[in-house]
Amino acid sequence: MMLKLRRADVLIENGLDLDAWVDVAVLGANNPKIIRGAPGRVDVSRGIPVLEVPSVRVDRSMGDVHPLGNPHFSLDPGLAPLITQTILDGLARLAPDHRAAFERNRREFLARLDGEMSRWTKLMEPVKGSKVVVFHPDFIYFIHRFELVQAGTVEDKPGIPPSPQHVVRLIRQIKEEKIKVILVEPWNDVKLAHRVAEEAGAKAIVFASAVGAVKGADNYIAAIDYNIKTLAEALR
Amino acid sequence: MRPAHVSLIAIVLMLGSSVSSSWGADKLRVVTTIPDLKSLAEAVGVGGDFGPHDGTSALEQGLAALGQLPESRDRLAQAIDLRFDLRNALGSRSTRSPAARRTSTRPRCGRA
Repeated sequence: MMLKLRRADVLIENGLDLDAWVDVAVLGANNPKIIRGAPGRVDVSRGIPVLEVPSVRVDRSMGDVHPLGNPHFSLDPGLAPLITQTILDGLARLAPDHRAAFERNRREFLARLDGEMSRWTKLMEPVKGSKVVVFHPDFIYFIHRFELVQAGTVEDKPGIPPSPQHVVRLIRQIKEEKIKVILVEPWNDVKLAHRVAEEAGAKAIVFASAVGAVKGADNYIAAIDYNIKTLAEALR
Repeated sequence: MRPAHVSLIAIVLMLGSSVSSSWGADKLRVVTTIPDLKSLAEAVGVGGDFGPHDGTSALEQGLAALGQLPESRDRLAQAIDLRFDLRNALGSRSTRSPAARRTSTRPRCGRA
């Protein structure tokens, strides 16, 4: 990784503290082209309407709370136009001769995404307003986009395994509110999610929380497509 | 129709490691911190196939395209770089695929 950073012309980061580790790595790589503020540094969180911005002072006792707001916006396909515009601006800054090609590529991508978006919206239409439980609060942008409701989290505090009392309360809530689905990332405690779901009469489904996270989700559109299909099916 | 060099480099991109890519006539080297951004950066940087793709067949096309270029020292260097990059990227894939066989050094070690 250090070698890649040392040779990089552009570093595209998510921002909102999701990848705060990269600053240390960039310093170690000693590459002035990609230090913060350099033309080669692209932060795609610029202009994103950030959700779950804490209204109180955040400290580690609250778990893995991101002080600048929820950074998992890339899972919302509705934000792809904004993200790709920021990427385009960054690339064109470094390679201005290719701006027209980058713009054409982006237009083609967004046209394809638009088509998929209509299909996804139609698929999610019948389950609009459904309540879901998430293991870790990673999916809030996706949930908002498709007008679902996040009713609870398996983790008591983000990034910290839940207490038995919390699990018992959650199972009761899922039963009472007839929640059908728990969304899990492949690297969460999938066994625990399945156990909770089984107890509560729900279903735990593994979401592609990033490109490549599950088989078949090997690019952005495929990852979102996988999530929509899996969720629409489970909520039906 | 895209210039030939763009489509060739797009193939390299698709099989790059999960966090780094390079493309363009100027070989802009791009590193992203998460795979979603790599995919979106590829869509902007090189365009092309946004649907689910089979990296192995893309590799076959890439290697075939390399063979079409005129012989030169630069082309040889590119070919070596490409094979190394792709072999690393294919590390987790089936070693029985034609693409994996073509980038593997194991058969050559056997012959030596």
